[in-house]
Amino acid sequence: MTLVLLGSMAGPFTGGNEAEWARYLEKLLKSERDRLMGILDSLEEGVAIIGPDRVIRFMNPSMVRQFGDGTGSRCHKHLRGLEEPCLGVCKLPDVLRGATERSEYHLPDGRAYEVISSPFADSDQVPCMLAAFRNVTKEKLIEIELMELNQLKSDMLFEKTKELEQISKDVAKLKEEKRRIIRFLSAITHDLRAPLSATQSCLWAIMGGYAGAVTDEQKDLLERSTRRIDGLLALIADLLDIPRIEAGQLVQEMKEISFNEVVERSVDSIEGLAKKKNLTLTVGLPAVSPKIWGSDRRLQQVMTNLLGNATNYTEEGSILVRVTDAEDELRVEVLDSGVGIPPEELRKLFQDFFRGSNVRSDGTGLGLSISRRIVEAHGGKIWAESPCPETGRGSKFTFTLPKRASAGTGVGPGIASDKVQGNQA
Amino acid sequence: MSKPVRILLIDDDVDFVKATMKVLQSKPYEVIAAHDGKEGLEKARSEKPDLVLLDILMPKIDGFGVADQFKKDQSLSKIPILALTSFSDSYGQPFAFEVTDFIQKPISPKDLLAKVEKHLERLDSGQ
Repeated sequence: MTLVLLGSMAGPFTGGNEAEWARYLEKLLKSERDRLMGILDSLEEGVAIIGPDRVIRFMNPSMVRQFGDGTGSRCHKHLRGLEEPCLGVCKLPDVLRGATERSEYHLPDGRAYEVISSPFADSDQVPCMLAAFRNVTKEKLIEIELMELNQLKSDMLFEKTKELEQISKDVAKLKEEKRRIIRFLSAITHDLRAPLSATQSCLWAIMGGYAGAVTDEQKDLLERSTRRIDGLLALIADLLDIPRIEAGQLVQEMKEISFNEVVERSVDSIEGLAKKKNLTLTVGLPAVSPKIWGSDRRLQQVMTNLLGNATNYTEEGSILVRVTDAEDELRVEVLDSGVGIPPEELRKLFQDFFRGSNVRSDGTGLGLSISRRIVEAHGGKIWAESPCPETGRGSKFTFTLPKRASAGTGVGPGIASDKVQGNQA
Repeated sequence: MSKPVRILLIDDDVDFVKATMKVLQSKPYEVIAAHDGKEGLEKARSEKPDLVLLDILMPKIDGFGVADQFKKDQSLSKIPILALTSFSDSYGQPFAFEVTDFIQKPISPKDLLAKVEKHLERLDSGQ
Protein backbone atom coordinates (compact mmCIF):
# COMPACT_ATOMS: atom_id res chain seq x y z
CA MET A 1 0.00 0.00 0.00
CA THR A 2 1.16 3.47 -0.78
CA LEU A 3 0.00 6.30 1.45
CA VAL A 4 0.77 9.68 0.14
CA LEU A 5 0.22 12.63 2.41
CA LEU A 6 0.47 15.46 0.02
CA GLY A 7 2.56 18.34 1.32
CA SER A 8 3.89 16.33 4.25
CA MET A 9 7.46 16.98 5.17
CA ALA A 10 7.92 13.26 5.92
CA GLY A 11 7.74 12.36 2.26
CA PRO A 12 5.82 9.40 0.85
CA PHE A 13 5.83 6.01 2.65
CA THR A 14 7.67 3.73 0.34
CA GLY A 15 6.65 0.46 1.96
CA GLY A 16 8.20 -1.89 4.54
CA ASN A 17 7.27 -3.84 7.70
CA GLU A 18 5.12 -2.76 10.62
CA ALA A 19 8.00 -1.31 12.61
CA GLU A 20 8.97 0.76 9.67
CA TRP A 21 5.32 1.85 9.35
CA ALA A 22 5.23 2.88 13.00
CA ARG A 23 8.47 4.81 12.65
CA TYR A 24 7.15 6.41 9.58
CA LEU A 25 3.97 7.45 11.33
CA GLU A 26 5.94 8.80 14.29
CA LYS A 27 8.15 10.75 11.94
CA LEU A 28 5.11 11.98 10.10
CA LEU A 29 3.36 13.10 13.28
CA LYS A 30 6.47 14.80 14.56
CA SER A 31 6.93 16.64 11.32
CA GLU A 32 3.29 17.75 11.31
CA ARG A 33 3.58 18.84 14.94
CA ASP A 34 6.80 20.73 14.21
CA ARG A 35 5.17 22.43 11.31
CA LEU A 36 2.15 23.50 13.38
CA MET A 37 4.37 24.67 16.23
CA GLY A 38 6.52 26.51 13.70
CA ILE A 39 3.45 28.27 12.41
CA LEU A 40 2.32 29.11 15.92
CA ASP A 41 5.82 30.26 16.85
CA SER A 42 6.20 32.53 13.88
CA LEU A 43 2.68 33.90 14.03
CA GLU A 44 2.61 37.59 14.70
CA GLU A 45 -0.78 37.12 16.30
CA GLY A 46 -0.83 35.96 19.89
CA VAL A 47 -2.62 32.68 20.31
CA ALA A 48 -3.91 31.38 23.63
CA ILE A 49 -5.93 28.38 24.61
CA ILE A 50 -8.14 29.05 27.58
CA GLY A 51 -9.89 26.32 29.46
CA PRO A 52 -13.50 26.36 30.64
CA ASP A 53 -12.14 27.27 34.09
CA ARG A 54 -10.56 30.39 32.50
CA VAL A 55 -7.11 28.98 33.07
CA ILE A 56 -4.63 29.69 30.30
CA ARG A 57 -3.54 26.35 28.93
CA PHE A 58 -1.29 27.53 26.18
CA MET A 59 0.34 30.71 24.88
CA ASN A 60 2.32 30.91 21.66
CA PRO A 61 5.65 32.83 21.72
CA SER A 62 4.10 36.00 20.32
CA MET A 63 1.43 35.90 23.05
CA VAL A 64 4.18 35.42 25.67
CA ARG A 65 6.16 38.30 24.19
CA GLN A 66 3.21 40.62 24.44
CA PHE A 67 1.65 39.55 27.74
CA GLY A 68 4.34 37.54 29.54
CA ASP A 69 4.05 33.81 30.19
CA GLY A 70 0.78 33.22 31.98
CA THR A 71 0.25 29.54 31.37
CA GLY A 72 -1.66 28.17 34.34
CA SER A 73 -3.02 31.57 35.43
CA ARG A 74 -6.56 32.80 35.08
CA CYS A 75 -6.88 34.71 31.88
CA HIS A 76 -8.57 37.81 33.35
CA LYS A 77 -5.92 38.02 36.05
CA HIS A 78 -2.99 37.56 33.73
CA LEU A 79 -4.15 39.52 30.73
CA ARG A 80 -5.94 42.38 32.42
CA GLY A 81 -5.00 42.22 36.09
CA LEU A 82 -8.60 41.66 37.15
CA GLU A 83 -9.76 39.48 40.03
CA GLU A 84 -13.08 38.68 38.37
CA PRO A 85 -13.78 37.60 34.76
CA CYS A 86 -13.88 40.54 32.37
CA LEU A 87 -17.34 41.97 32.72
CA GLY A 88 -19.25 42.33 29.52
CA VAL A 89 -16.26 41.38 27.41
CA CYS A 90 -15.64 37.74 28.22
CA LYS A 91 -16.84 35.56 25.37
CA LEU A 92 -16.03 32.24 27.00
CA PRO A 93 -19.58 31.08 27.73
CA ASP A 94 -20.67 31.83 24.17
CA VAL A 95 -17.64 30.18 22.66
CA LEU A 96 -18.13 27.09 24.80
CA ARG A 97 -21.63 26.92 23.35
CA GLY A 98 -20.04 26.82 19.90
CA ALA A 99 -19.95 30.44 18.80
CA THR A 100 -17.05 32.26 17.19
CA GLU A 101 -16.80 35.74 18.63
CA ARG A 102 -14.96 38.85 17.69
CA SER A 103 -14.11 41.41 20.33
CA GLU A 104 -11.81 44.29 21.06
CA TYR A 105 -9.61 44.71 24.10
CA HIS A 106 -8.28 48.08 25.07
CA LEU A 107 -5.61 47.84 27.72
CA PRO A 108 -4.91 50.61 30.20
CA ASP A 109 -1.42 51.12 28.69
CA GLY A 110 -3.01 52.08 25.37
CA ARG A 111 -2.58 48.80 23.53
CA ALA A 112 -5.54 47.62 21.55
CA TYR A 113 -6.28 44.07 20.44
CA GLU A 114 -8.73 42.53 18.12
CA VAL A 115 -9.55 39.09 19.43
CA ILE A 116 -11.16 36.24 17.53
CA SER A 117 -12.36 33.54 19.92
CA SER A 118 -13.49 30.19 18.64
CA PRO A 119 -14.31 26.81 20.17
CA PHE A 120 -11.42 24.42 20.40
CA ALA A 121 -11.08 20.93 21.78
CA ASP A 122 -7.73 20.65 23.51
CA SER A 123 -5.54 17.56 23.28
CA ASP A 124 -7.35 16.12 26.35
CA GLN A 125 -10.66 16.63 24.51
CA VAL A 126 -11.75 19.34 27.01
CA PRO A 127 -13.75 22.01 25.21
CA CYS A 128 -11.70 25.16 25.35
CA MET A 129 -11.50 28.55 23.77
CA LEU A 130 -8.88 29.35 21.18
CA ALA A 131 -8.23 33.10 21.20
CA ALA A 132 -6.17 34.85 18.55
CA PHE A 133 -4.95 38.28 19.63
CA ARG A 134 -4.08 40.72 16.91
CA ASN A 135 -2.35 43.89 18.02
CA VAL A 136 -4.29 46.73 16.41
CA THR A 137 -2.79 49.58 18.48
CA LYS A 138 -1.23 51.26 15.45
CA GLU A 139 -4.35 50.85 13.36
CA LYS A 140 -6.43 52.28 16.16
CA LEU A 141 -4.07 55.23 16.46
CA ILE A 142 -4.27 55.84 12.73
CA GLU A 143 -8.02 55.49 12.93
CA ILE A 144 -8.13 58.06 15.72
CA GLU A 145 -5.81 60.35 13.81
CA LEU A 146 -7.96 59.99 10.74
CA MET A 147 -11.02 60.73 12.79
CA GLU A 148 -9.37 63.78 14.27
CA LEU A 149 -8.23 64.84 10.82
CA ASN A 150 -11.72 64.41 9.48
CA GLN A 151 -13.06 66.41 12.37
CA LEU A 152 -10.50 69.11 11.65
CA LYS A 153 -11.43 69.05 8.01
CA SER A 154 -15.10 69.38 8.72
CA ASP A 155 -14.36 72.11 11.27
CA MET A 156 -12.36 73.98 8.67
CA LEU A 157 -15.00 73.39 6.06
CA PHE A 158 -17.61 74.72 8.43
CA GLU A 159 -15.52 77.79 9.12
CA LYS A 160 -14.86 78.38 5.42
CA THR A 161 -18.52 77.97 4.68
CA LYS A 162 -19.29 80.50 7.37
CA GLU A 163 -16.69 82.85 5.91
CA LEU A 164 -18.16 82.42 2.44
CA GLU A 165 -21.63 83.08 3.78
CA GLN A 166 -20.35 86.25 5.40
CA ILE A 167 -18.66 87.32 2.16
CA SER A 168 -21.78 86.76 0.11
CA LYS A 169 -23.74 88.68 2.74
CA ASP A 170 -21.22 91.52 2.49
CA VAL A 171 -21.45 91.48 -1.29
CA ALA A 172 -25.24 91.62 -1.12
CA LYS A 173 -24.95 94.50 1.34
CA LEU A 174 -22.57 96.34 -0.98
CA LYS A 175 -24.87 95.77 -3.94
CA GLU A 176 -27.80 97.08 -1.95
CA GLU A 177 -25.66 100.05 -0.91
CA LYS A 178 -24.85 100.72 -4.55
CA ARG A 179 -28.52 100.59 -5.49
CA ARG A 180 -29.28 102.89 -2.58
CA ILE A 181 -26.64 105.38 -3.75
CA ILE A 182 -28.01 105.35 -7.27
CA ARG A 183 -31.58 105.83 -6.04
CA PHE A 184 -30.44 108.60 -3.73
CA LEU A 185 -28.53 110.34 -6.51
CA SER A 186 -31.50 110.04 -8.85
CA ALA A 187 -33.70 111.64 -6.24
CA ILE A 188 -31.18 114.47 -5.70
CA THR A 189 -30.81 114.97 -9.43
CA HIS A 190 -34.53 115.31 -9.76
CA ASP A 191 -34.96 117.63 -6.79
CA LEU A 192 -32.11 119.90 -7.83
CA ARG A 193 -33.12 120.03 -11.45
CA ALA A 194 -36.89 120.48 -11.03
CA PRO A 195 -36.86 124.02 -9.56
CA LEU A 196 -34.15 125.07 -11.99
CA SER A 197 -36.05 123.82 -14.98
CA ALA A 198 -39.24 125.50 -13.77
CA THR A 199 -37.29 128.76 -13.40
CA GLN A 200 -35.72 128.24 -16.78
CA SER A 201 -39.11 127.60 -18.37
CA CYS A 202 -40.49 130.82 -16.88
CA LEU A 203 -37.49 132.86 -18.02
CA TRP A 204 -37.65 131.39 -21.51
CA ALA A 205 -41.36 132.11 -21.72
CA ILE A 206 -40.72 135.78 -20.82
CA MET A 207 -37.69 136.01 -23.08
CA GLY A 208 -39.60 134.56 -26.01
CA GLY A 209 -42.28 137.21 -25.63
CA TYR A 210 -44.96 134.70 -24.59
CA ALA A 211 -45.90 136.88 -21.63
CA GLY A 212 -45.83 140.22 -23.38
CA ALA A 213 -43.32 142.33 -25.27
CA VAL A 214 -39.73 142.39 -24.05
CA THR A 215 -37.18 145.10 -24.61
CA ASP A 216 -33.74 144.28 -25.95
CA GLU A 217 -32.22 145.22 -22.62
CA GLN A 218 -34.56 142.87 -20.75
CA LYS A 219 -33.83 140.17 -23.27
CA ASP A 220 -30.10 140.59 -22.71
CA LEU A 221 -30.49 140.21 -18.95
CA LEU A 222 -32.78 137.22 -19.36
CA GLU A 223 -30.31 135.62 -21.72
CA ARG A 224 -27.58 136.01 -19.11
CA SER A 225 -29.83 134.38 -16.47
CA THR A 226 -30.80 131.45 -18.63
CA ARG A 227 -27.19 130.86 -19.63
CA ARG A 228 -26.20 130.65 -15.96
CA ILE A 229 -29.04 128.26 -15.23
CA ASP A 230 -27.97 126.13 -18.16
CA GLY A 231 -24.47 126.03 -16.68
CA LEU A 232 -25.84 125.04 -13.29
CA LEU A 233 -28.03 122.29 -14.78
CA ALA A 234 -25.01 120.93 -16.64
CA LEU A 235 -22.90 121.05 -13.49
CA ILE A 236 -25.52 119.15 -11.50
CA ALA A 237 -25.76 116.55 -14.23
CA ASP A 238 -21.97 116.20 -14.39
CA LEU A 239 -21.44 116.14 -10.62
CA LEU A 240 -23.98 113.40 -10.17
CA ASP A 241 -22.69 111.49 -13.16
CA ILE A 242 -19.39 110.74 -11.46
CA PRO A 243 -20.71 108.75 -8.49
CA ARG A 244 -23.25 107.08 -10.73
CA ILE A 245 -20.55 105.87 -13.09
CA GLU A 246 -18.43 104.83 -10.13
CA ALA A 247 -21.32 102.93 -8.58
CA GLY A 248 -21.26 100.77 -11.69
CA GLN A 249 -24.48 102.01 -13.23
CA LEU A 250 -23.00 101.76 -16.72
CA VAL A 251 -22.68 98.02 -16.53
CA GLN A 252 -26.45 97.74 -16.17
CA GLU A 253 -26.96 99.77 -19.31
CA MET A 254 -24.57 97.82 -21.49
CA LYS A 255 -25.83 96.01 -24.54
CA GLU A 256 -24.70 95.41 -28.10
CA ILE A 257 -24.62 98.73 -29.91
CA SER A 258 -23.87 99.83 -33.42
CA PHE A 259 -21.06 102.33 -33.02
CA ASN A 260 -21.46 104.33 -36.25
CA GLU A 261 -24.89 105.45 -35.09
CA VAL A 262 -23.45 106.73 -31.82
CA VAL A 263 -20.96 108.83 -33.77
CA GLU A 264 -23.58 110.04 -36.23
CA ARG A 265 -25.90 111.21 -33.48
CA SER A 266 -23.07 113.08 -31.75
CA VAL A 267 -21.98 114.69 -35.01
CA ASP A 268 -25.58 115.80 -35.59
CA SER A 269 -25.61 117.56 -32.24
CA ILE A 270 -22.60 119.78 -33.01
CA GLU A 271 -23.04 120.18 -36.75
CA GLY A 272 -24.97 123.43 -36.26
CA LEU A 273 -22.25 125.07 -34.21
CA ALA A 274 -19.51 123.88 -36.58
CA LYS A 275 -21.37 125.33 -39.52
CA LYS A 276 -21.88 128.60 -37.67
CA LYS A 277 -18.13 128.82 -37.05
CA ASN A 278 -17.40 127.87 -40.66
CA LEU A 279 -15.44 124.77 -39.65
CA THR A 280 -15.01 121.84 -42.00
CA LEU A 281 -16.36 118.75 -40.27
CA THR A 282 -15.16 115.45 -41.72
CA VAL A 283 -16.36 112.07 -40.47
CA GLY A 284 -14.62 108.82 -41.40
CA LEU A 285 -16.57 105.73 -40.38
CA PRO A 286 -16.02 102.04 -41.17
CA ALA A 287 -18.17 100.82 -44.07
CA VAL A 288 -19.76 98.26 -41.77
CA SER A 289 -20.81 99.74 -38.46
CA PRO A 290 -18.77 98.02 -35.73
CA LYS A 291 -20.78 96.25 -33.05
CA ILE A 292 -19.54 96.69 -29.53
CA TRP A 293 -20.77 95.96 -26.03
CA GLY A 294 -21.39 99.20 -24.22
CA SER A 295 -23.71 101.91 -23.00
CA ASP A 296 -25.13 103.72 -26.00
CA ARG A 297 -26.04 106.83 -24.06
CA ARG A 298 -22.72 107.11 -22.23
CA LEU A 299 -20.57 106.57 -25.32
CA GLN A 300 -22.57 109.22 -27.07
CA GLN A 301 -21.79 111.45 -24.10
CA VAL A 302 -18.05 110.84 -24.65
CA MET A 303 -18.34 111.57 -28.38
CA THR A 304 -20.40 114.72 -27.80
CA ASN A 305 -17.90 115.88 -25.17
CA LEU A 306 -14.89 115.42 -27.47
CA LEU A 307 -16.65 116.93 -30.49
CA GLY A 308 -17.98 119.80 -28.39
CA ASN A 309 -14.49 120.58 -27.08
CA ALA A 310 -13.03 120.38 -30.58
CA THR A 311 -15.65 122.80 -31.87
CA ASN A 312 -15.36 125.19 -28.94
CA TYR A 313 -11.57 125.42 -29.11
CA THR A 314 -11.29 125.75 -32.88
CA GLU A 315 -11.87 129.13 -34.44
CA GLU A 316 -10.97 128.22 -37.99
CA GLY A 317 -9.96 125.19 -39.97
CA SER A 318 -11.33 121.71 -39.54
CA ILE A 319 -12.44 118.92 -37.27
CA LEU A 320 -11.93 115.30 -38.23
CA VAL A 321 -13.61 112.31 -36.63
CA ARG A 322 -12.17 108.94 -37.51
CA VAL A 323 -13.26 105.51 -36.34
CA THR A 324 -10.96 102.56 -37.05
CA ASP A 325 -12.28 99.05 -36.65
CA ALA A 326 -9.25 97.00 -35.60
CA GLU A 327 -9.31 93.30 -34.84
CA ASP A 328 -9.95 93.48 -31.11
CA GLU A 329 -10.62 97.13 -30.47
CA LEU A 330 -12.23 100.23 -31.85
CA ARG A 331 -10.09 103.33 -32.12
CA VAL A 332 -11.86 106.66 -32.16
CA GLU A 333 -9.93 109.82 -32.98
CA VAL A 334 -11.04 113.43 -32.91
CA LEU A 335 -8.59 115.85 -34.55
CA ASP A 336 -8.94 119.61 -34.51
CA SER A 337 -6.96 122.57 -35.81
CA GLY A 338 -7.68 124.64 -32.73
CA VAL A 339 -5.64 126.39 -30.06
CA GLY A 340 -4.06 123.19 -28.80
CA ILE A 341 -3.05 122.25 -25.26
CA PRO A 342 0.23 123.18 -23.52
CA PRO A 343 2.33 120.01 -22.95
CA GLU A 344 2.36 120.40 -19.15
CA GLU A 345 -1.45 120.36 -19.10
CA LEU A 346 -1.92 117.26 -21.23
CA ARG A 347 -1.63 114.87 -18.30
CA LYS A 348 -4.00 116.82 -16.11
CA LEU A 349 -6.71 117.15 -18.73
CA PHE A 350 -8.66 114.13 -17.53
CA GLN A 351 -8.70 115.09 -13.85
CA ASP A 352 -11.79 116.44 -12.10
CA PHE A 353 -12.27 120.21 -12.40
CA PHE A 354 -9.06 120.74 -14.29
CA ARG A 355 -9.20 124.03 -16.15
CA GLY A 356 -6.51 124.58 -18.72
CA SER A 357 -4.98 127.98 -19.39
CA ASN A 358 -6.59 128.03 -22.83
CA VAL A 359 -10.07 127.30 -21.49
CA ARG A 360 -12.61 129.91 -22.47
CA SER A 361 -15.96 128.17 -22.67
CA ASP A 362 -18.11 127.99 -19.56
CA GLY A 363 -18.01 124.22 -19.23
CA THR A 364 -18.15 122.43 -15.91
CA GLY A 365 -14.56 121.23 -15.88
CA LEU A 366 -15.82 117.68 -15.54
CA GLY A 367 -16.47 116.73 -19.16
CA LEU A 368 -13.16 115.00 -19.86
CA SER A 369 -12.91 113.38 -16.44
CA ILE A 370 -16.38 111.90 -16.96
CA SER A 371 -15.41 110.78 -20.46
CA ARG A 372 -12.34 109.06 -19.01
CA ARG A 373 -14.49 107.22 -16.44
CA ILE A 374 -16.93 106.13 -19.11
CA VAL A 375 -14.18 104.86 -21.44
CA GLU A 376 -12.44 103.06 -18.57
CA ALA A 377 -15.69 101.48 -17.44
CA HIS A 378 -15.84 100.00 -20.94
CA GLY A 379 -12.32 98.63 -20.54
CA GLY A 380 -10.80 101.21 -22.89
CA LYS A 381 -8.28 104.03 -22.71
CA ILE A 382 -8.41 107.69 -23.57
CA TRP A 383 -5.58 110.15 -24.17
CA ALA A 384 -4.77 113.47 -25.76
CA GLU A 385 -1.94 114.70 -27.97
CA SER A 386 -1.09 118.28 -28.84
CA PRO A 387 -0.09 119.33 -31.33
CA CYS A 388 -1.79 116.62 -33.34
CA PRO A 389 1.10 114.41 -34.60
CA GLU A 390 -0.51 114.15 -38.04
CA THR A 391 -1.24 117.80 -38.76
CA GLY A 392 1.33 119.47 -36.52
CA ARG A 393 -1.28 121.74 -34.97
CA GLY A 394 -4.35 121.75 -32.77
CA SER A 395 -4.91 118.61 -30.74
CA LYS A 396 -5.94 115.03 -31.12
CA PHE A 397 -8.03 113.00 -28.68
CA THR A 398 -8.07 109.24 -29.00
CA PHE A 399 -9.98 106.56 -27.18
CA THR A 400 -10.14 102.82 -27.60
CA LEU A 401 -12.93 100.38 -26.81
CA PRO A 402 -12.36 96.63 -26.58
CA LYS A 403 -14.63 94.73 -28.95
CA ARG A 404 -14.94 91.56 -26.92
CA ALA A 405 -17.76 91.80 -24.45
CA SER A 406 -15.71 90.19 -21.70
CA ALA A 407 -13.02 92.83 -21.86
CA GLY A 408 -15.16 95.67 -20.67
CA THR A 409 -18.32 94.54 -19.01
CA GLY A 410 -16.74 93.21 -15.88
CA VAL A 411 -14.75 96.36 -15.43
CA GLY A 412 -16.48 98.46 -12.89
CA PRO A 413 -15.98 102.06 -12.00
CA GLY A 414 -12.77 103.87 -12.74
CA ILE A 415 -12.40 104.73 -9.06
CA ALA A 416 -8.77 103.95 -8.42
CA SER A 417 -7.78 105.06 -11.81
CA ASP A 418 -5.41 107.96 -11.61
CA LYS A 419 -3.32 106.70 -14.46
CA VAL A 420 -4.20 109.39 -16.93
CA GLN A 421 -3.02 108.67 -20.38
CA GLY A 422 -1.21 111.50 -22.03
CA ASN A 423 1.37 112.29 -24.58
CA GLN A 424 4.69 113.27 -23.12
CA ALA A 425 5.63 115.24 -26.20
CA MET B 1 -63.19 124.28 -40.08
CA SER B 2 -61.65 121.81 -37.66
CA LYS B 3 -62.09 122.20 -33.93
CA PRO B 4 -59.13 123.67 -32.00
CA VAL B 5 -56.39 121.30 -30.90
CA ARG B 6 -56.67 120.27 -27.29
CA ILE B 7 -53.54 119.65 -25.25
CA LEU B 8 -53.64 118.18 -21.76
CA LEU B 9 -50.67 119.14 -19.61
CA ILE B 10 -50.28 116.88 -16.57
CA ASP B 11 -47.59 118.14 -14.17
CA ASP B 12 -47.49 118.81 -10.44
CA ASP B 13 -45.02 121.71 -10.82
CA VAL B 14 -47.38 124.72 -10.99
CA ASP B 15 -44.62 127.08 -12.09
CA PHE B 16 -43.64 124.85 -14.95
CA VAL B 17 -47.30 124.49 -15.89
CA LYS B 18 -47.84 128.23 -15.88
CA ALA B 19 -44.79 128.90 -18.12
CA THR B 20 -45.60 126.04 -20.46
CA MET B 21 -49.23 127.12 -20.82
CA LYS B 22 -48.08 130.61 -21.81
CA VAL B 23 -45.90 129.11 -24.54
CA LEU B 24 -48.52 126.65 -25.82
CA GLN B 25 -51.25 129.30 -25.82
CA SER B 26 -49.25 131.31 -28.35
CA LYS B 27 -50.59 128.78 -30.84
CA PRO B 28 -54.25 128.02 -31.51
CA TYR B 29 -54.21 125.29 -28.87
CA GLU B 30 -56.68 124.83 -26.09
CA VAL B 31 -54.54 123.88 -23.09
CA ILE B 32 -55.99 122.03 -20.11
CA ALA B 33 -53.85 121.57 -16.99
CA ALA B 34 -53.96 118.82 -14.41
CA HIS B 35 -51.76 118.76 -11.31
CA ASP B 36 -51.46 115.09 -10.57
CA GLY B 37 -51.94 111.77 -12.30
CA LYS B 38 -55.42 111.18 -10.93
CA GLU B 39 -56.74 114.55 -12.07
CA GLY B 40 -54.92 114.01 -15.36
CA LEU B 41 -56.74 110.73 -16.03
CA GLU B 42 -60.10 112.24 -15.14
CA LYS B 43 -59.54 115.21 -17.44
CA ALA B 44 -58.27 112.95 -20.20
CA ARG B 45 -61.54 111.00 -20.06
CA SER B 46 -63.78 114.06 -19.88
CA GLU B 47 -61.93 116.42 -22.24
CA LYS B 48 -60.64 113.96 -24.84
CA PRO B 49 -57.37 115.80 -25.64
CA ASP B 50 -55.53 115.41 -28.96
CA LEU B 51 -52.15 115.22 -27.24
CA VAL B 52 -50.87 114.82 -23.69
CA LEU B 53 -47.78 116.28 -22.05
CA LEU B 54 -47.13 114.04 -19.08
CA ASP B 55 -44.74 114.54 -16.16
CA ILE B 56 -43.16 111.37 -14.77
CA LEU B 57 -42.70 112.04 -11.07
CA MET B 58 -46.03 113.08 -9.58
CA PRO B 59 -48.11 112.40 -6.46
CA LYS B 60 -51.11 110.03 -6.43
CA ILE B 61 -50.61 108.38 -9.81
CA ASP B 62 -47.23 108.96 -11.43
CA GLY B 63 -46.49 109.26 -15.14
CA PHE B 64 -45.89 105.54 -15.50
CA GLY B 65 -49.27 104.79 -13.99
CA VAL B 66 -51.05 107.33 -16.17
CA ALA B 67 -49.41 106.04 -19.36
CA ASP B 68 -50.36 102.54 -18.31
CA GLN B 69 -54.02 103.52 -17.86
CA PHE B 70 -53.99 105.24 -21.25
CA LYS B 71 -52.82 102.03 -22.90
CA LYS B 72 -55.58 100.04 -21.22
CA ASP B 73 -58.37 102.49 -22.01
CA GLN B 74 -59.57 102.11 -25.62
CA SER B 75 -60.81 105.70 -25.79
CA LEU B 76 -57.37 106.99 -24.74
CA SER B 77 -54.92 104.49 -26.18
CA LYS B 78 -54.49 106.36 -29.48
CA ILE B 79 -53.63 109.72 -27.90
CA PRO B 80 -49.94 110.57 -28.25
CA ILE B 81 -48.16 111.03 -24.94
CA LEU B 82 -45.04 113.17 -24.65
CA ALA B 83 -43.34 112.34 -21.36
CA LEU B 84 -41.67 115.17 -19.44
CA THR B 85 -38.79 114.50 -17.12
CA SER B 86 -36.28 116.38 -15.02
CA PHE B 87 -33.98 113.41 -14.79
CA SER B 88 -30.72 113.96 -16.57
CA ASP B 89 -30.86 110.36 -17.65
CA SER B 90 -33.08 107.36 -17.54
CA TYR B 91 -31.87 106.48 -14.00
CA GLY B 92 -31.71 102.76 -14.45
CA GLN B 93 -34.27 101.64 -16.98
CA PRO B 94 -37.67 102.61 -15.67
CA PHE B 95 -38.62 104.22 -18.97
CA ALA B 96 -39.37 100.89 -20.51
CA PHE B 97 -43.04 101.83 -20.67
CA GLU B 98 -44.61 103.02 -23.86
CA VAL B 99 -44.92 106.70 -24.63
CA THR B 100 -44.76 108.49 -27.94
CA ASP B 101 -41.75 110.67 -27.14
CA PHE B 102 -39.66 112.08 -24.33
CA ILE B 103 -39.05 115.70 -23.44
CA GLN B 104 -36.17 116.52 -21.17
CA LYS B 105 -36.94 119.45 -18.89
CA PRO B 106 -36.22 122.27 -19.31
CA ILE B 107 -37.09 122.57 -22.99
CA SER B 108 -36.93 125.84 -24.87
CA PRO B 109 -40.26 127.23 -26.13
CA LYS B 110 -39.11 126.79 -29.72
CA ASP B 111 -38.20 123.12 -29.21
CA LEU B 112 -41.38 122.41 -27.25
CA LEU B 113 -43.63 123.90 -29.91
CA ALA B 114 -41.72 122.05 -32.61
CA LYS B 115 -42.15 118.72 -30.85
CA VAL B 116 -45.85 119.26 -30.20
CA GLU B 117 -46.41 120.33 -33.79
CA LYS B 118 -44.52 117.33 -35.12
CA HIS B 119 -46.68 114.87 -33.20
CA LEU B 120 -49.90 116.68 -34.09
CA GLU B 121 -48.97 116.60 -37.78
CA ARG B 122 -48.23 112.92 -37.55
CA LEU B 123 -51.65 112.47 -36.01
CA ASP B 124 -53.33 114.37 -38.90
CA SER B 125 -51.57 112.47 -41.63
CA GLY B 126 -51.37 109.06 -39.97
CA GLN B 127 -54.89 108.45 -38.77
